[in-house]
Amino acid sequence: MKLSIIRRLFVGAIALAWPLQAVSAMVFKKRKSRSEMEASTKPATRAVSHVAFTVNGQARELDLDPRTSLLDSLREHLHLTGTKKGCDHGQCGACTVLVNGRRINSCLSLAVMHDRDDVVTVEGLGAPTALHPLQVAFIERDAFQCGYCTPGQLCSAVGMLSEAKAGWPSHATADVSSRQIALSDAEIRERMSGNICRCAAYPNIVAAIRDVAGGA
Amino acid sequence: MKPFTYERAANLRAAGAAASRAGAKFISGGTNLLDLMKLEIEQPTHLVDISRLPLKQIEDLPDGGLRIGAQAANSDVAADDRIRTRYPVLWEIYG
Repeated sequence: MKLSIIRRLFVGAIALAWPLQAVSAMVFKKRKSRSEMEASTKPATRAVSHVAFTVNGQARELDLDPRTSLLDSLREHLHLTGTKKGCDHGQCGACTVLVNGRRINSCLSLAVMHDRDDVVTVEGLGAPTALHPLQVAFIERDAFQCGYCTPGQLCSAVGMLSEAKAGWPSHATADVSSRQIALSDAEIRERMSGNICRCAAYPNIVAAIRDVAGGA
Repeated sequence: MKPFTYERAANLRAAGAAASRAGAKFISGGTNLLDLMKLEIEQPTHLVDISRLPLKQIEDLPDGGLRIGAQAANSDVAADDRIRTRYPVLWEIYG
């Protein structure tokens, strides 16, 4: 008696399970075919590009949507969030990094264009225990309030000092034929004009850069 | 930004051929083009990177003029001694 009840329940369970399985298989199949359909309607241009570059002295390789900006590759893929996204249109300078020693706006450059390049971000300028002279000067001169523009200011200042050392003139240079650049406050302001500070810490930023330029 | 494919042109001839594709555009620095692409004013489907083609030279010409390569960076042009001393208007533009 008990056995027959168990048998009946067992058979019933199988009878229920079969159609369930069939239905789930149909759903699965339907889902699969929908994703296939979506894939076929996506533009054929969806592509992946490979980039191998050096970031802060380390060899890094990424497979990226070619649309990825250098800035997003640093922040979202390499998790180097020191570099900041301000306007994302090359107007504020918050995203400034050094590429092969020269300062650029990383938001207006594709990561895939930097294959084999040498990229330095604020994380690569100095370590917490061994700050870059500009980082020390920024702290000493209190050259920030909120600090959001600071990584860009620092990278830009590093690039700017090497440009001045190489004798590049600016619009504040009185004698453009001279290779000797004296970094007056006017020169520093002009050369750092691509880096906006919403807190307007400019007097202290200029002072910090002047300290390092004078000591160099 | 609309999706696109990317290639780096190996030489001038390859760059010309690649750019003749419908929807293709050259990219060099990216400052102008990428800004417009983010706003979807420009919507290329293929980008041909010409930034490493040998077009960075600033060279003297026999007639006394200068030829500035299409890839010469503005900052390099502004820093060039010949531009600084002989072409002040150009220096004003590039500096």
